[in-house]
Amino acid sequence: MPARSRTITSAVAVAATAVVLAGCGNSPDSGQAPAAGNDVQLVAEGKLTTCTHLPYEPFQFNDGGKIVGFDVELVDLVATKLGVTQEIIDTPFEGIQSGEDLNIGKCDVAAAAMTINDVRKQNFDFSEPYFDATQALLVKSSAGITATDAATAAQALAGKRVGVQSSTTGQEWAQENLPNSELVVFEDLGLLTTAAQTDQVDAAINDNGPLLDFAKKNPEMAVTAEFDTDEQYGIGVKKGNTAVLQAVNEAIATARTDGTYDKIYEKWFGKAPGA
Amino acid sequence: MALTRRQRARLGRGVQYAIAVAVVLLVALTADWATIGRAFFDLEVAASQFPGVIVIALRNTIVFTALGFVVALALGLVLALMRLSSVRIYRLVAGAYVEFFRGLPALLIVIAIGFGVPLAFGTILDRTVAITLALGIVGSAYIAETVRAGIQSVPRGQVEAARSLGMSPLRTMVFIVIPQAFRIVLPPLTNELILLTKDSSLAFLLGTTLEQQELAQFGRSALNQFRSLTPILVVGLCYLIITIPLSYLARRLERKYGSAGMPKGAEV
Amino acid sequence: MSGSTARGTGTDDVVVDLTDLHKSFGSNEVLRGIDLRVRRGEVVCIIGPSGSGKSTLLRCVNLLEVPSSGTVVVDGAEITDPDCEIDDARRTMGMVFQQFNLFTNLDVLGNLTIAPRRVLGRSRAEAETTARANLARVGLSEKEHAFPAQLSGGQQQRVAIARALTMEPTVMLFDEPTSALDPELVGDVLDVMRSLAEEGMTMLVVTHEIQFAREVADRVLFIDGGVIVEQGTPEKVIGAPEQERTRNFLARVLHPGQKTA
Repeated sequence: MPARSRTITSAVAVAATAVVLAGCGNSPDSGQAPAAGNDVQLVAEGKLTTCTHLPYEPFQFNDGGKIVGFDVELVDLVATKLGVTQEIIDTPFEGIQSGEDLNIGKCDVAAAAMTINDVRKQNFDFSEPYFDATQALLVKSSAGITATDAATAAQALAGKRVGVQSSTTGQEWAQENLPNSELVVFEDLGLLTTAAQTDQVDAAINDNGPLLDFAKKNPEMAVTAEFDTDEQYGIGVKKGNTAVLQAVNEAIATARTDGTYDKIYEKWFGKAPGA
Repeated sequence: MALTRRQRARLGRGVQYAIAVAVVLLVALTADWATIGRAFFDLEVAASQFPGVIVIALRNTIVFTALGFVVALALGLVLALMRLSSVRIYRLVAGAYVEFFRGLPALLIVIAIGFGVPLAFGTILDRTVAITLALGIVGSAYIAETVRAGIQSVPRGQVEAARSLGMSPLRTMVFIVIPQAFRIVLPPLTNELILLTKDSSLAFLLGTTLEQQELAQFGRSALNQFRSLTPILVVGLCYLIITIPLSYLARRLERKYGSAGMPKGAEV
Repeated sequence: MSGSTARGTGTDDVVVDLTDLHKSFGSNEVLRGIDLRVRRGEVVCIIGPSGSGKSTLLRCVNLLEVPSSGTVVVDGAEITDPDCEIDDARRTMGMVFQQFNLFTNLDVLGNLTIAPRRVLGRSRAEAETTARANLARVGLSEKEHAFPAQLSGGQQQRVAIARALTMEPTVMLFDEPTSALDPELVGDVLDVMRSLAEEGMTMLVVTHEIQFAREVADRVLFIDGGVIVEQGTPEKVIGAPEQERTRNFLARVLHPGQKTA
């Protein structure tokens, strides 16, 4: 085709690219507008945006169209303190625990029953601990598998299939302490517990909170061991986001002193906090 | 005992039927129908999916797919023209784009857009914009090839006649080639729409609020909540509500427009 | 310089001027130096065996093929000049193809009006008036809303001629216009071409219809192997050819199956 077609194709290409790019960067959710009544900068105006991964009963889960749970209520306290409402984003756990979601501005805080550890501390900042947890072992009550510590667990589970959840401290613990077991990795808690319930795996390793909750609701399952892994949960914020971090820590501290924390704890775990 | 051809044919058919019946019986008799019924056909759980599955999930799937398709079509058209251009740089760039994005799983592309764009440009995209862009990019690579093939299948004589009348290359493309190519590519475009509908299930990778869940995530969420596979069945039916009519439409268009863009059944 | 007096012969007004035209496809040289001047109102028929380059010659005139060397000047515009605005120049030339090439996405009226509207900027009403006039000229007024696929080959070709005429060209180029037609449809198309010639249209026709050339042409060119072997009045070239190649070709075409001398 003679020379004219070049100009045409160029014009069309440029125009189309411009149209497409105009759609980007035009994001109502971005922007550094300060929230109402505070100097704290949030990723979305008027909202405290939380990244989490569902389901993780009883910390965060979908109950009939609404996301509820222990973590949800704690972060609600922070939102109230900042004079905004909480908006929860359900997103793959890898992005949360690697800090990427916080870095790219997807959310202000990450509340996903996350254990505080050194690796994660490198990726983002943690709040003060808000929950004491430990790794636990979930099995069928009838299976008769028990343990008192890592060593006895390794014995009891030798040659068996043990389910873990991807990117969790439970997965790390199992990799370290159960060399003779076959580890099966599941993407979320729901799939993991279902697998244990349907005998796809012989046992499941995860935090005691959700496993105890599951065993409570499913009598044929039981938590037969808790390992003293001394884990503590923290809420994550983007590295250097001191404003939001301060708000979180203050909200939690206030809750502990004025009894709100105990109330929430009892609501979700059926007993007062021991620690 | 030599069999005649007819007898051989009948014997062959008989064997095939016997095998088919055997397979069906095998599956039917070994499957645990009680458990399947409980797992997949729990009416109470199914009922609880409504209206959310329609009002939120189906709506989101349709919106993401439609928006993604529009972007894919626009981008694909530009890319097709670039591939056919006489300017070498355009051909190379478009060619590289198509090979690259056709060769990657849509999953990776969605993740790359979800994290790559914010990191590169310092601003996070609205989630609907992000999934639209991702689906648009995924679809555009395929649509570019389809459109290019369609444009090239318009007979050269049509172009020669238009140019002989004094029509410029642009006018020829706009008034003669693209209208004819359009009819040729309608069936494959409809197929692409079906594929894009299924790819919209990757939206969960970008993180969603409850209102932004599309069908697949809605189903998985309910699966976790109710520990029943019934939501998967419900969501699956919703997908079929979209894809089966589209499939039918694609077949009808193919019959109507054939491969030469001329109305079938006309005498010459 | 023959035939009816309606044609504007006797003037030196050259409409198509080809000078030393060469065209190669790869290593295959198809046109090996063609010189040709067509005067206004002249009807020139080009005959010759397949592969002789006659179609290529015609297609060089409106630059559907780009000559390897040589110049083409049509109605004052040097087509082969790289600075030539070829789209504008093509308005002076109407082309009729062997395969008709009617636009399949438009009906007959659409085919006739698209170029006047989009290229000449005429209004729809204006374009349709001209279109209908030209349709009447080729005897197909009742088919204006038909689609090409619904017409016979002969009808399509006549519509194609009408389409070319709506741009009011100075010269009409015909590339084997009847070769793809069933024999019984050929006559209608030739009738249209005949009346066009009688109205004084300058025509350059590549054809196998020797009888038509004999009756209608002012000049006949016999092309073989990329050169003009013989040219002159139909009486001379067809009736009393000087060259042996011409004689052999005519013998084969006019009396197929007969042994040639």
